Amino acid sequence: MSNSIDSVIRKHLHRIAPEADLNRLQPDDELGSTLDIDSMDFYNMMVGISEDLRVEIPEQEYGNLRTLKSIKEFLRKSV
Amino acid sequence: MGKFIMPSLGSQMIEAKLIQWHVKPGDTVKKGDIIGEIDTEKGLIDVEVFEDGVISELVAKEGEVIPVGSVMAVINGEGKTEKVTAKPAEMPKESAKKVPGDGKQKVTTKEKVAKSQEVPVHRIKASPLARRVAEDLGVDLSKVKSNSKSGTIHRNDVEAYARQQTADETFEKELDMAEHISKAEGKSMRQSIASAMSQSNKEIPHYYLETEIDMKTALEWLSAENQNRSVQKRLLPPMVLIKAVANALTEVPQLNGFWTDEAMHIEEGIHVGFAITLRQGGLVIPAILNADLKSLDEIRSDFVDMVSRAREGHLRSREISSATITITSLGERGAEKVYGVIYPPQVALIGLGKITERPRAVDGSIGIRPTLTVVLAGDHRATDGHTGSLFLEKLNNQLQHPETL
Repeated sequence: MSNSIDSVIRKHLHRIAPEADLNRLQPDDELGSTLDIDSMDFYNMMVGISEDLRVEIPEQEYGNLRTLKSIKEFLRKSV
Repeated sequence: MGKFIMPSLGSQMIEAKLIQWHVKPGDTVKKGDIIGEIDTEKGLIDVEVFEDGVISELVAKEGEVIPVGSVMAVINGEGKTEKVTAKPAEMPKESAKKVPGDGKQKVTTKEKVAKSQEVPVHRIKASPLARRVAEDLGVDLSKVKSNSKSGTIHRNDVEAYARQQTADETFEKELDMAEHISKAEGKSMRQSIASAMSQSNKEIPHYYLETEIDMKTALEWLSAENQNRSVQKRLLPPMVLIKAVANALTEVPQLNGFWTDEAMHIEEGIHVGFAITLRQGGLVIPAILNADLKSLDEIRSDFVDMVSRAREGHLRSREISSATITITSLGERGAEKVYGVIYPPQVALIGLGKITERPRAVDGSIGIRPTLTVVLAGDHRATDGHTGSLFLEKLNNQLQHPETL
């Protein structure tokens, strides 16, 4: 499962920031500033992830989901 | 018979390259259908057709660079071809029957149109008032189309025609100018922004008004509202802000419109442009059309759709050329204030900074509140600070009552 979580996150990050080298992204990097994604991009990513993994992501969680690591942890608990 | 011409998507645009057609001769199209894709300095744009009809001929070839105003396609309008009210029922049928690509029949229709335009003025069904207004405005009644079922031309038909004529003339003038400007091959988006902003800075005497808006109520309402919504239907602050701006403009319409020919022209439709930064650099400003008449949910879906199409390069011609006012928003990671440059011929630009927690005097003591700094840039030729101030006050009122948006 964690493999598919990882690939779904990467798929949507790539869709939003196609030019970014995701292999260089560290688990604790803040996605917004590292990849220059804004709140709309972030929202689109959340929609994509929640559709692919069929998981509800409450808005209150958005503030915590700022890094690759935190998104993965949340999804592991929720999927 | 309609000629579909290369649209002008801004005063700086001279030409665009036709990437592909989505239609072929014989296809029936409806107003608003996307019939092709063009490459402009604003990126790839989907072009929409402005009338119902059948595609008779595709004049422009894929890959060709076409000057603004040149004919790209010929469309046989259904119902729209009728310019004279003498025989309202017959003309549309004629054109609908036409076999596409058949040159001979096209000529026949043309002749009929020409013939029917020769109907003597006294035989045209028009109200006495319409005749008088037509005379005053120098309008040829035989060219005016009636909007009433009886086919009688009324005063508003004449006035609408006169307005259209003026708009067409302005467009022609712009075309002439465009032709004189040396054609910079493949003008980049950066250059296009550069010339629009230079023009703005040179011609528009900007004034700036700044105010801080307490966003506590709006954000709390938003988060309560979102608890009942699925991820796909969630509302984001920019959607609420667009709606609030549109509503405030209904109360202060003086900021909504264009400064052209040394005069302010207030627009009836409130089309809120929203600056969207592109990853590859540059920005586009598509508009949410008639934002004041749309529900928050309609704005939500328009906005989501528009942002993703802006980034993928599939904005529609009408979205990119219709904005009557612009919002520039720095989002959640930007600076706290933005003093924007008005996009001519618009007369105002609303700069929204990042919403941050700031100390504020609340009910006689100091509280920490999420605060938004709004900076209004106004064109001093068109309005004065008093109007701008009034607008900011109305905007604040809207945001203090988010449930009514």
